This record gives sequence, structure tokens and C-alpha cells, in this order.
Amino acid sequence: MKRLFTLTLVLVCLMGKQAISQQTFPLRGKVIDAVSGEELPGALVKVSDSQRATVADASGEFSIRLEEGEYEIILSFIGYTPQKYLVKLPQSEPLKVTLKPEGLSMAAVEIVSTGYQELPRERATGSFVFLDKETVSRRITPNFLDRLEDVTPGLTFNRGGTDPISIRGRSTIFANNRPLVVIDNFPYDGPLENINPNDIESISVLRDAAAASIWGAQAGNGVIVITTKSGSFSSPVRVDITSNYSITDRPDAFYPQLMGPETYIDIEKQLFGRGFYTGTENSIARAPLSPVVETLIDLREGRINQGQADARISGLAAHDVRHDFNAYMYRPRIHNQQAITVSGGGQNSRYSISGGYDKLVSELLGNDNGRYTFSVKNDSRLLKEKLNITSGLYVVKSSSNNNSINPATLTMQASGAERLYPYARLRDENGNKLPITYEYRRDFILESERNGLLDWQFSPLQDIDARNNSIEALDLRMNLGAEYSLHKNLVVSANYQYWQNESTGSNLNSTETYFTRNLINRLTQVTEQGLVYPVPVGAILDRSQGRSFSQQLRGLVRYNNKWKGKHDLSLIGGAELRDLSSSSFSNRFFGFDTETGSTSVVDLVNFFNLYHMPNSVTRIPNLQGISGNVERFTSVFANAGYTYADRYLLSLSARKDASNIFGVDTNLRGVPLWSFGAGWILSEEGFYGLDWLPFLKLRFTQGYNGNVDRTLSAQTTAQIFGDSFLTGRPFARIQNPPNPLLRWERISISNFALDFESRNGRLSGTFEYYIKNGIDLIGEAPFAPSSGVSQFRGNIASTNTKGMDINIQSFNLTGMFKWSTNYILSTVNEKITDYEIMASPGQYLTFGAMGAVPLPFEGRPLYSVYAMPWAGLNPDNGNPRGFLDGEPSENYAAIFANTTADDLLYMGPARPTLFGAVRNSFEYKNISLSFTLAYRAGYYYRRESIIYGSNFGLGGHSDYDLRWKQPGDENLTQVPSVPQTGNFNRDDLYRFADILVERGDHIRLRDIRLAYRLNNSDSGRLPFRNAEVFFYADNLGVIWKKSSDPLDPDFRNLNQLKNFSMGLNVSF
Amino acid sequence: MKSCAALLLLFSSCDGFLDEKPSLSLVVPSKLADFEALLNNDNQVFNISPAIGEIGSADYFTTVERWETYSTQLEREAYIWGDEVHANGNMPDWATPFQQIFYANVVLDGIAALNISSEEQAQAERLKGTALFFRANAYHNLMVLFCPFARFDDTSDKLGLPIRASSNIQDPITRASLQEVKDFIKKDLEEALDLVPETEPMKTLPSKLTVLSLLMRVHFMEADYSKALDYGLLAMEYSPELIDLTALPQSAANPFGIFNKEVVFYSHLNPYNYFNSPLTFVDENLLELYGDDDSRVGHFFIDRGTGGLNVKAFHTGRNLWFGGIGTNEIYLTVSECLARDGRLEEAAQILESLLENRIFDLEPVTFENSTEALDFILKERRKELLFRGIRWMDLRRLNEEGAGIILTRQLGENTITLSPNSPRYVFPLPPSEVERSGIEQNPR
Repeated sequence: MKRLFTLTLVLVCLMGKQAISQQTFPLRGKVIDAVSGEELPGALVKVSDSQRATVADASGEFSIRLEEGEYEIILSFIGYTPQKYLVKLPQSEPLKVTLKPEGLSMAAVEIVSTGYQELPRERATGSFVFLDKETVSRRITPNFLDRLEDVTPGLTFNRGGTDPISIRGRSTIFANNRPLVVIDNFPYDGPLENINPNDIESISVLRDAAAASIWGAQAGNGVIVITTKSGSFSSPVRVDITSNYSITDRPDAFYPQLMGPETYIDIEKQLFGRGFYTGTENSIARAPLSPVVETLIDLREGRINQGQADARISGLAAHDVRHDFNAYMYRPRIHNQQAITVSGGGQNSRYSISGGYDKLVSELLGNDNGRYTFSVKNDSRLLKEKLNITSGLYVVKSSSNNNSINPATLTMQASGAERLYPYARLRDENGNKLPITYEYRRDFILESERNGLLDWQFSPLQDIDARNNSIEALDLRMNLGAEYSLHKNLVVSANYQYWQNESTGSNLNSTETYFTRNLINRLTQVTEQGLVYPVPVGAILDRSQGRSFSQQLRGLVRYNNKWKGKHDLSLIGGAELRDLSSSSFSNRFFGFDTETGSTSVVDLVNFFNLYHMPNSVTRIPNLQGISGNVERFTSVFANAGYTYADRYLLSLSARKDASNIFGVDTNLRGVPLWSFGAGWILSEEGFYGLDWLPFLKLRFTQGYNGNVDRTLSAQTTAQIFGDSFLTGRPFARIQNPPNPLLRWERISISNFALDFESRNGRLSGTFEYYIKNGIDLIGEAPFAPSSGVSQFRGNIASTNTKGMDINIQSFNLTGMFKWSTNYILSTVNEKITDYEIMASPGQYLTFGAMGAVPLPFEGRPLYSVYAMPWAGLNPDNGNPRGFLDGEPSENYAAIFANTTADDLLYMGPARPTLFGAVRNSFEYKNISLSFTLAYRAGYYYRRESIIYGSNFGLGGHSDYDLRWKQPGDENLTQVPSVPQTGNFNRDDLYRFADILVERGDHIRLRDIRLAYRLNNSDSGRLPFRNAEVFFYADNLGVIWKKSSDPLDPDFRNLNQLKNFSMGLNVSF
Repeated sequence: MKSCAALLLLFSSCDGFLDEKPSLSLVVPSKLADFEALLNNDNQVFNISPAIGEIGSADYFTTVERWETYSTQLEREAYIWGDEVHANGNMPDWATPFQQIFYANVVLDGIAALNISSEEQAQAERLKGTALFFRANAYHNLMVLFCPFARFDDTSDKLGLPIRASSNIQDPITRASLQEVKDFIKKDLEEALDLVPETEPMKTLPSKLTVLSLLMRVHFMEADYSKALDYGLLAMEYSPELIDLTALPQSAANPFGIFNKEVVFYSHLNPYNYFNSPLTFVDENLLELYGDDDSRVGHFFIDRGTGGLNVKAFHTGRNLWFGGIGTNEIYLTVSECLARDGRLEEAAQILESLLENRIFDLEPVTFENSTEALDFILKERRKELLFRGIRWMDLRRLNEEGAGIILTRQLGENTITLSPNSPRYVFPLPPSEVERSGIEQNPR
């Protein structure tokens, strides 16, 4: 790491020294390939500033005699980056010299890519995280984004919320919150899951203002720059094969703490006794009743006797549907991945061809997907290397089947229950698939069938088999670039990218599916002539087609000059255009015959009576629609870098973006962004005397990012819909009220950093501290309903974020047994500094920690956990108590009425404020072992508990069993007694009480990787260059947590799924 | 732009490159067609009426268990005329009419800003008239819930509503006086009357008959019977049609159907849980008013064996309660105004033409005196115009005239009553409104 730099540094010192000794000593060494470990026979070994040179022999070894002293030697070999080394004679041991293949040289010297330019890390002033191939390929996931977790300081994965990842906290409240992904120099418009991680050479994550002034308004949330693999010039054909297989734990239906069948049935009996089901029993919509309630009705009506009822109920109670979920609907997820890359190059051209196949069988029965990726990348140097032409083609073909039913959301319809009655059975003893009570009452279904309607039962397992819902997609990306050196200092280039994605969805609902049978039955008309079917008896096919394409074009002029040995200037100027459009249409075909493709015409205009609810009417639900979107950007930008005397760095960048934001005056469409950076390599200074720390650098950037909420507009905008329910005429909905003051969000970022490296690179690292200030952020203000809108979005918020990112690499042991440790640590402290309008206390309690619409509160992080003060249970009746005028009280309505948002207890941030990971790697001979511990701290979450609602908490949390039952219980439990009358305020007082808020701090064993590597250079007898067999285990679980809550703080609804992979990488 | 100069090789011109709209379905409403589309937003915006008044009218009752388990506090509180008639601070019955007013204002401001060509003139007028009607309708619906009753000749200073006459949502919000609100409503309707079309094929949009009917209702509900009669008689000139319920089979599940000929203006009540519940029973005193020869019993009500009669079907033709204007309202209102004017024969004649379609073998309707006439007409009004929000308006009107109707709710042991002219006939504003705009809350 940074060796090149250290080298030049020492070299400078060397210049003044004179060799005076006369005796000669042998300089011995061996040249090997840095990546494969093979010897490099024929490598040229040259002594700097002299004519002395030699060539490595067949085993890569060389020897040359020189006088005592220090020398710089230069090693070179075709296809490899020349390397300089310093040696001191006499040697203590032979030199081992590694050369890096040219294609990989970037990674080797940590050349960070901003997507526009590649620059050595030492020259950079901005905040970059560089992830090399090894880091990217360490984790085994189908999606590259997951591979950034716990290796990228400042990047968090948010569990829950609409933003899956954020870089250095969330930079916006409502506007686009996704980091920009750049692949091969262009923003990527397609779905991220189309990127094959095996094609990735390296990733740079840009975290500060330098990113935005390079990438503009789309970069406000950080930028992830992906560089794909290339071949190498003048190198023989190389074949790399990767194959891995991974198996992920099955989800566990018992993980969420929910009441079991016994408790559930008890409550159903109580509710039945209170006449709770009378309404449903006579429901107009024939709403369903669970088997226990049906049994109780049968008993009441005298259709069965007490003994029969008890037997039936105890038979039901003996079964827990969660066993069925685990056995029949969940399964282990299996993913296998194969990839092959062929690369190589001649004197003036290089190529890389790769293909990959991924197959994923989901943990949900009925879902799977496959992906084929293919890419060709080619570079040619023409006209004496003055013209460089690059081209690339990437094709992804993917298909997925989505036929699952998620057990977690499967419920009895229209019952208000959040989950299925827990004693449902999905199969009988003989394995036959059973129907469940689903949308209508048992008797109604039977009666309808007798009246000639189609079978109206719903069996989840049968339905999964019957469904046929698939999506096929083809994704195509082509790019072409040309770079021409007009002069040794001046280069012009143009890049163009075309991207296209077509996807076809086909949802064939045969008459076997519940969907089709239900729709036909609901619309069946009873007439004097008999049954009439407005929806024909036959399959229903929903087809949808989406097509997106984008074109991007960039022109660039680059000027580089070094003069007088001290000045180094690079200038870039350019402009770009981006045009992204997408269109889609969908249609529904009735009476579809799969044999002949024939379809039937239906009456979409007239109303029909509903069979199950004849006093109401409906139209046949239609699915036709056409939509289209266009996003356009134009940008001009300039970028300057200046280095003086290899130690003073200065960078400036500016950019202006404009976009087709709707209904906005032209002058407000654009936003100017800029950044400034400075760096000082302290260790280059004459006065610098720390021998043990040969590299020390300070750097700083300051600048502005921007962001925009494209859904907003300065004028009233409305969305037009095809047909209104009542009249079938086109109608419009006002999307947003006019906002003449709408402007871009701006985020100013200051970044202070220190980079260091100890002698021999044993310890190196980076400390960064940043301050982000969000200005004019778009916020949502609750509005007085009499204005006509109940919320309003405008530039009303300001935020302040401070944080630190630390990355340290330490080589603890070198030699035969190697041990290195990588530490990353990040802190993020976010605060809303200005937000005029408060939400209601209820909203903060319910959605403050996590919600589709964030609720800012001045002085607090955007996502915060709030609570109500808890005064314990009333010892007499187990009622929860809060405080009213400082006294314990059960007057819930008054407690809430007298609670303002300021009175709420602020428990703390809902997202980690401190997080990071420690990875230890060990290597002995060919074996390497590494494991990662990841930690998150400084945040809070609310533990789930029983909410009684108006049905005694039916189907709710298993805390029900711990509830207060009799005086004295208040010393053992905090769970309130069952209320006789549903009282939402009473529920809320408990569920939002401070006693249910827990600290989220925890440490988890992220992963373990064990690999065995074989290099041909060791024996020379292997049929390949090198090979690696590895075993990888991921998501291994929490090893320490602050709270005593039994569930994982970050995975509340479903257990985090352990993953085990094994694989093979071979290079020929 | 400079960038374009550099990139001309691909895109021949940059003019308009950034003018492309981001979404096909997005518009800045600026053409008559856009305003037409806004006014056609029937099922989500315009053709929904507030319903808490209907909950409070006590024409139906439910069991204490069912009351306790009603899923929203708003419904439970409205049922007992309580103080907390809101769900988490919000109340659709307040917000929806103001949303209608906002949409109407967007259309009115938009049309005002257009240069209308001569061929667009007719359409522009129709849209303007429609928007004015919707705005007036929304204000009247709000007024009967959130403002105290005031006769037309009552000039005392009473709390009205915020008057929103522009689409600028940032305009300051203050409560105008009740008189100003009433004047605003009447002015809108009178203007609309000249603009709306003679006939309108869609029952969700106003025609002349619709505006006349609403003018009639607005005046009638402030006890200005002579003006109400003027408008009612104008409405009668359109020969409002009636369905002969006596000719329909009593077993018909949906006897009226959607957009039937008795619908002058389609609107449904905000769908609350009460309306679809088999435990929502029609008040027994009300049921007693129907004679054995009344065809309405079978069409309006159904016995599901739950311990009382439920509502079967109404003029929406859907499982939603009606909240619009029906032809039957015109007949009953005109008849009552005539009776109050002493024109008993005409009153009887109009009522008879309605009842012919309701009662099997109807005996001729004749009145001896005004008291008897009014008594009879009010009874018929109660039997005909139920579960559509009108009873609430009538209770306020009749009690002010001294009818002394006391409403009671029995919840287990507890009896809750609403005495005539109680301040509880005025619903409290939702807390979200009071908190955010700072306007004055209604006294309770």
C-alpha cells in the first residue's frame, strides 16, 4: 500500500548520497506475479542511473554484482507495471520482487475512480472509500450492494424504512434518497440486481462534496462507482472461473412472538360469549368466521352437543399452523452462481469476455429467479497510442417466478386480523392440501357451490401450485468511448452509453387459482334464466410490458502538465446530456384459452350486482393502462487539480445541472454546485522527522451537493387517470398544490481527514471528520385541512449532521504466519435544526422511529424513538397508568389530550449513531481464514407487546400470557390486564410507554471465510495457474447485545437468515 | 445552453430538451380538459358527503357491544354527541368538503386565468358553474355540521367557517361570520344557476335542476320557506321523475340501482362502519311510522335475524348510504313549503304524486288544516328522506321552531340525550384544524 509513494520519498533522500565503497556484492532476487504468485522468467532487472541490467532466469531468479551501497532497481516485464525497488548491499536476504499485471495496477496502487477520472489516492483531497476485488468478492451474495456492508466506513444498511442504505446519514427528508451508482463512467439506470458482482474489479464510494460537484445533483446521497474487469495489454489468454453454492436458513414462523392456538381459542370463546361475532355472523359481505367460532355457533344452534364441540375444538387446538408454514411454505434459500471470464490482450488491444449464471430459489415456496449475464469489453490503442477506443457490451437476461404466498401476511380476509388463525391446517395427515377459511363464511361457500357456482375454497398450497406469475427481462447496456491525445498535455474524449431494459410480466390465473374462481363467482348474476357470467369461466391473463431506455453522452477535455519538476496541473472540462425514458402498458384478458390463445370480450362499462353482496354493484376490474416517464439532465462541469512540490494539493470543481422538473421556470431548473479541496502531505516537508511514520497527509474539502424532489412543482400539478369508478370518465387528482418558492435542496459538506502509514506499511489508516448542513430541504408540513390539503411539501427544513469515519489496517504478524486486522468505525449524529411545523404527539409516537413519511422534530434526529412516561400498572385492576398533572392516572383520553409533542419522552435515535466492523485475517501457507465482527450502537427501538384493540388482543403478541390477572401481578409484570372495552388510548399508553423502549446496541458475528489456495508456481505441476476453494458463512448472529429482549434488535419480524456458501475460483 | 453546443452531434437541438414532462399522466391544469378532469374526480373527491350528522341523528341504534367495538373513536363519539369526534386528530367530514372547495377553487382560478375562445365559451361556463355548485354544496354540508343553526332573518353574530375563495393554500385562515358563509353559498349557487347546462347526462355533475334543488334546500334549511318554495317550484318544472316502488318485487336485492331516475345529484356518505353493519338497527319508533301498505319497508329494510331491521338498499345502488339530492326531496320540500304557506290543496296534491309511488292502494291525500298538513308532511318526510344526512338538518331546523325533539341513546345502563337546540348540535372542529390554523373551536 502506498509503496510507490514511499518509494519516491526515499528516492529523493537517496539522490544526494554517494556510493564510495569498492567491494562488490551479489544482488539476488526472484520476480513473481503479484496476483498469481507465478515466477516471471525473462523479467528485466535494471539498475537505475546505470547501464547495469540482467534478466530473470527460468525460475524467475536473478543475480547481479554491485558495490556496497543503496540502489534503486527497476523491474519490468511485458504486460506488467514496471516497479522500482530500493536495495541496500550487502543484502541480508534475497529480494522478493512482485510485479503486478497491468490490468490490475489500479487496484494495486489504490487508484480511486471518480467515474470521470482515476487518480492515485495520494493525490486525492476528497473522501473516497476504495474496495478492491478481494474485498468485493469476499462475501457471496447475488447482489453487489450487500457486499458493501461492514467494509465501507460511513455506509449503513437501514433495517426498515424506505432507504435501504445511506452514506453518512440521510441527506434528505423526502427527495430521492438513493446513492447514485456509476458503472464504467456512467450513471446506471437499471435495476441493481442486474449487476453481476463477479464482473466487478473495484468499487469506490464517494462520500463528500467532491462527489456531487463531479456527479451533480444526483450525487447528494453519495456515489458508488463501479469499475468492471478489463483484460491486460500484452498478456496471454487468461481464464477465470468462479463457482459457488450457497444455502440460507429457512425463515422461522415461530420467531415473531405471537400467541399460540390455545390462547387464541380461549380468547375466541370469550369474544363469542360476549356476542362479538354476531355482526360478522350476519354480515352482508358474508365475512368469514374461524373454525372455532363456527363450532361455537353449531353448538349454540344445537347442531352439535357440548362433547362434540369440545372434541372438535381440542382437535383444532392441537395443531399450530406455524409448523405448516415452516414445513410447507418456507424453505432454505439456495443460490448458486457460476461465472467465467476470458481476458487477455496484445500490444495494442485488450479484451475481457465474461459470462455468468445465477439461480436463486427463494425461501418462499413458489418464488425463484435466474439471471444470465454476458459482457464483452474491449480497448484498442491506435495511431501510436494516441487514440484509445473503448467499447463494452453487457447483456442481462433474467426471469423470475413470483407465485408465493407470504405466511407472515396471510390472513383471514375482512376479519381485521393481522394473521391467520393459528390452528389452521395446510395439509391433512395424508399430505392432502387443505383449504383454509379465507374470505367468506363456510356455509355461504357450500351453499353457493350447491347453487352452481365454482368451487370457492382457498387452499394456500394448492394456489401456490396453480399460480403462474412470471417476469422476463432483458437488459442491454452498450458503451463506446474514444480518447485522443491532441498534444502530450491535452486529451479530448467522448463517451456514449445506450441502455435499454425490457420486461414482460405475465400473470396467468387459470381457473385453478383462487383469484379467477373468486372473480367469476363474485360477478355471477342470478337471473330468471339461470346463472349468467359477466366474467367468463376461463383463465384470466394479466400482461404487462415495460420498456426503458437511456442515452448518455459526455464530452471531455483534459489537460495535464508538469513543469519545473514542482508543478503538476490537471484540468478537466466537459458537458453531458442524459435522457432516460420509460413506458409501460398493461392489459387483462378474460376467458383466456392457453391452447388456442383465444380470449373473450367482457362488459367493462356496466355495473353488475355482486353475488355475495347483492345490494352492491361493481364493474369488472380492468387492468389496462399506459404510462410513461421521462427524465432529462444537462450538465456542464469543470474540475482542476494542482500539486506543488508533491506535497501541496489543491482541487476545485464546479458543475451546473438542469433537469426537466415539471412546471418550474427555466431558471430554477438548474443548480450550481461546487467544491474546493486542499491537501498537505506533511511527511514530504523538510522539517518532518517522524521516521516511524513515513507518510502523513492532511486534507480538507468543502462544497455543496444538491437534490431535488421530482414529484414537486412550482405550479399545481395533477395526475390524470383513465376512468373514474362512477362514470368511467377520465379524472384528475391534484398531485401537489402550487409552490412558487420551490427550489433545490442543498447540502454543504465539510470534510477533514488525515491519512497515515507507518514504516513498512504495518499500520495505515484514515481518520475523517465531516459536517453536513442541509439547507432548504424539502419537508412536509401538516396543514390545516381547511386549506384543502392536509400536508404540504416545501423547502422548509434544515439539518445538521456530524460524524467521523475511521479506517485502520494493521499487519500484526508478517512472515510465515500472517495476521492482519482491519478496523472500521463510523459515527453519525444527525439533527434537524430547523423545522417549523410539528406533527402530532400520536404521529411522533407511531411513526417517529420508522415510517413512510419521516416526521422531523427540531433538535432531534430525523428518525427518533419517542415514548410516554409510564406510571406502572394499577395494583387493583392491572390498568396501565400514565401521568396526568404529575399524578399516576388512568384517564387515557385526558393524558393524551394534555400531552404535547414537547412532553413526549425523547428516548434517542432510531438509527445507529456508531457502527463499524473489525475483520481479522490469518494466513498460513496456502490457508487463509478471516472473520468479521460488526457492531451497531447508540440507537433505540420499541419492543413489541400485546395490543388489545377491541378484540382482547386476539392473535397478538405472546406477552398476553404474561398479562396482569390478579392483584399482586403488578410486581411481576408490566403487561396490562385485558380491558373489557376496547380502548385505543389505553393500548397506546402501554405500547408507547418508555418501558418498552430498548437499546439496540449489539455486536454480531458477521461472517467467517476459510480458503485454501493452490498456486502453480509452488509446484509447477498443476493444470492451472491458481485455484482457491473457500467456505463462507454469513449472518452468524448476535454475540452480544445490550438489551435482554430475546429477539435480534435489527430483525424484529423475521429471524436474520444464516447463510453458508462454498465455492471455487480457478484461473488458467 | 453551453452544454448543448458541445453535444450537438447527438441531439440536433436543445430547444425544448428540458421541457419534456417527466410523466405522461402529469399535467399542470391549464386547459379546459384538465379542469373537466378535476371536476370528474367523483369517487375520491367530489361526490362524497359528510356523515357524522347522520350518525348523530339517532334514526338507528346499535348494541352496546357493537358500539364498544366500533373501530374508530370518531364513530363512537359521534354516536353519543361526544367531544372527541375525531380519529387521531383528523375528521374526514371536515377535510373532505374543504378538499372539494380547494379543487373547485383550482378550477375557478384556472378558468379565470384563461383566454377563452368563442368555441370554448360554453364548456368554460359549464365548468365554472359546476365548480361553483360543488363549492356551495361543500360549504352547506359543512355549515349544517359545524355552525349553529340560524334562521334566514337571524342577523346575530354567529361563528361561521373559513371562507376559501382562492386556490392559494397559503392564504390566512380565519372563521368568517355565519352570515358571510350563507351569503357566499347563495352567491355561488345563483351564479352557478346561470352557467350549468339545462341537462347533464352524468348524475355526478350538476344540471339546472341540481342547482335549483340545492338552492331550495339551502333556503329551506334556514327556514326561509318562501324562497325555498320559489326554487322548489322552479325545480318542479323539470318534472322530476319517481320510481314506482309499489311495482317492484319486495325481494329485489338492489331495487334502485346506481344512477336511478330519482337521483338528481349522486353523492354517498363517507363510508363509516355503522352503515354496513348487520348490528345497525333502524330505530323502532321510526319503523312504527310506516303503515302495512307501505312498499318502502321491504325496499329500504331487511331482517337478517340479528334482532332488528337493517338498511337494505338506498339510492346509491351500492352498499353506501346516499348523500346527494333526490327527486323525492323536492316533492317533500315543496309540499311542506306550500302547507306552511297555507296552500293545502297544492301541498296535498304534490305529496300524493310522491306517495302514489310508495303506498299500495293509496287513499287520496287531503288536509283539513295547516297543523294536520304539516304533521302529515313531516312524518312522510321522515319516512322517505332517511339515512342520507337530511334528518340532521331537519332536527336543527324543527327544534329551533319549537318541535322539542329529544334524541336518546341507550348504552347498557347509560342513557345519553341530546336536548333541542343543544350546543351539541354543532360538532367540534377536529383538533388538527384548531392546532394548525388556530381558529376558534366551537363551544360545547
